Amino acid sequence: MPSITCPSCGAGLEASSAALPYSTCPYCQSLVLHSALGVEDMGKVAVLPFDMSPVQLGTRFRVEGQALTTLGRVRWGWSGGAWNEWLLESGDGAPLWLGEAMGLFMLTRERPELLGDPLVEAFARGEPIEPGHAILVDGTVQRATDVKTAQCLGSEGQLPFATLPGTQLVNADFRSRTGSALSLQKVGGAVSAWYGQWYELADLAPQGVRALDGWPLPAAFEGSRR
Amino acid sequence: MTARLVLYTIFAALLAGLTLLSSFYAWSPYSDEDHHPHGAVYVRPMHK
Amino acid sequence: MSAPHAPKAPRTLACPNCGGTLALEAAGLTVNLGCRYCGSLLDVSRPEVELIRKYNRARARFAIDLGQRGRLFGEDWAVIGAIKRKDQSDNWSEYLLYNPYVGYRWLVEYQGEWQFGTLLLDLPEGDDRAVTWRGERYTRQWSEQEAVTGTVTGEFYWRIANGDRARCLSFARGETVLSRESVEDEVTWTQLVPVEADEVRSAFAIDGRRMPRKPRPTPSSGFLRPAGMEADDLGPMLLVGLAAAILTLLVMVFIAGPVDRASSVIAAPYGMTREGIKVGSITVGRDHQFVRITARGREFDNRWVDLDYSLVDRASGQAVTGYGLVEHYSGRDSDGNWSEGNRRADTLLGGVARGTYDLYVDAGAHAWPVDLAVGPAPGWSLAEQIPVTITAEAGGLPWGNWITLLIFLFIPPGIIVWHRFRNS
Repeated sequence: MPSITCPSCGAGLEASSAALPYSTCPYCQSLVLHSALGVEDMGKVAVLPFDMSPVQLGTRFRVEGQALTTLGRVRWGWSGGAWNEWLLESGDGAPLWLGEAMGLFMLTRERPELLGDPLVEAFARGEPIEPGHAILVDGTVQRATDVKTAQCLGSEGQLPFATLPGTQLVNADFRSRTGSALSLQKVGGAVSAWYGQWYELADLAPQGVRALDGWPLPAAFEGSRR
Repeated sequence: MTARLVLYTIFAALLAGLTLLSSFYAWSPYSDEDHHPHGAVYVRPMHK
Repeated sequence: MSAPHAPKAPRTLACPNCGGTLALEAAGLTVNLGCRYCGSLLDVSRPEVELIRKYNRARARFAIDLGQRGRLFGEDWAVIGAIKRKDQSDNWSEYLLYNPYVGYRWLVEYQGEWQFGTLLLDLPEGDDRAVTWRGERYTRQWSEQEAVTGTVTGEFYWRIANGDRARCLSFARGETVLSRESVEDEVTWTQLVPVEADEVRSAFAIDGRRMPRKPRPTPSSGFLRPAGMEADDLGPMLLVGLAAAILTLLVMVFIAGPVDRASSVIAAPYGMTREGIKVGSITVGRDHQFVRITARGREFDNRWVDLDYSLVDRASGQAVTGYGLVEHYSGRDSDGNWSEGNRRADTLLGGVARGTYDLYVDAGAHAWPVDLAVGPAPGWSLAEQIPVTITAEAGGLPWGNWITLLIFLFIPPGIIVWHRFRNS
């Protein structure tokens, strides 16, 4: 695993893949951009506020036979609250987002072919998506339930984009009758489409979850923390 | 089956039982017989 | 260099209105917090706590205290929020349970009965009458209700406020209920399973005196729930009623016993009573039977005939007596032609003992408006007699009893229908 050194404080940082060029230094909050040309200090990232998330960097999951590892997190805030987006990587290097809200987890994989959908193209041009707008994904109608603009509240670990204060996300959530979900995200002009479904934490067979004061690990997780 | 359906079924069974009991003893609130007590024997009138 | 992200104990914060110390169990997930001391509603989704709405209420009264931990369905839970909700007829309490490793659950208390609620991720499919979920069919319980949020205290993961409204529809299969709540376009489904009150009490160490009790059944909460809130058992109820009526009738036919009939035409004289006209003989074949005597007069008008029946037991000479009246009147007044009276009269004699009986009748005809004592009147001659056909029948059915049964049987469903109609 290639490693880099924080140009600001000299701490060792993990930088496992070229697809995730941004790392947040856990010691000095510097956002470090690394590429073939070297490392660069982009500025300071906001300190993540304390939360009770059971997920932490390094938490592993097993979903449909696939092993996933938690590499990074962004926290987004909007007028109605805040949520975490955990960046997971599968064995084949494909990124996944694990959205954490309402005590539930939405695991999504990137679906680049959806960017050709007229609705997504319009969204990329800056046209708004209204609740009720629909997209067909894998034969299922996905209907927009809410569209919100969120600000980055902080980040940790490795991420595909810069998370400096002021970074904005426009997020459109779509839901289907069957429980599958689509999320269109626009960060700094770049649109991506993510498709998946909601899970409870136990359904994701987590290992290496975070220890939380006063809360024993549920029986289903027994021996999973390492 | 709701509680009140159970109640109603009990109520219906009771009513049916009462009706059958009265039927068995040939009693009816709508009958207008007069049973004459012992000794009051019908005397057939004399025809002219 | 400081250690990265050392987890800290759950946060506490001070209510910006009353200064009370409030725990924040689900930091990072909780959006709104209702102060347990003053009721003020706070936004705690950001590090800086914001007062959304200021209240100075008395402390909310709930059976379970906020922060209480307990074990249910094999997991530990903290009670982090509590709300009171009501619809047009009922009110109930809902407790939000939280475990950071498991997520959220609900504990719903209605009149001393408890349900454990889990948000559904795989949604049921179907229409407003029945839905299918995980291969099983759930049928609608009552009509759609609007639930209004009342008191709000503790932490919630969404923006909640006193006065929030949601349309609720529930579907049941056995004791499991799927509850659908819609707020504008957003629909959530919750699975509710019953929990024993004792289990809840011991899990959350609730003081027995604070435990909600089951109310004594009252007409408004038991048999007669308001329109829409009653379970839809009207159909089964009508079926039960109908079955009871038909079965009873069949058994009544069986009980009525052998039928015996005698009939003759008698002549009722005008202005006098002819006594002791023998109609015929019938046999009562059971210990107790009904004898129905039917009198039918033919074309007569403005006359009535008094009929005194004597059913005489041949063996003992004792009589069962009864009275019949056939009558018919007509005329013309300012409203036009009128007629009334019945040329037919049924007389039911009950409790007739086994035996052979002779039926005698005393018959006398009268004119309306007045009997003419002497002299001919128009259309009337002293020699005139009114023929009346008298039929006696042993073993007939007491229809009145059966119709009374029918009426009583349909009073309860009738009240329910009337109640629905009145409230709809």
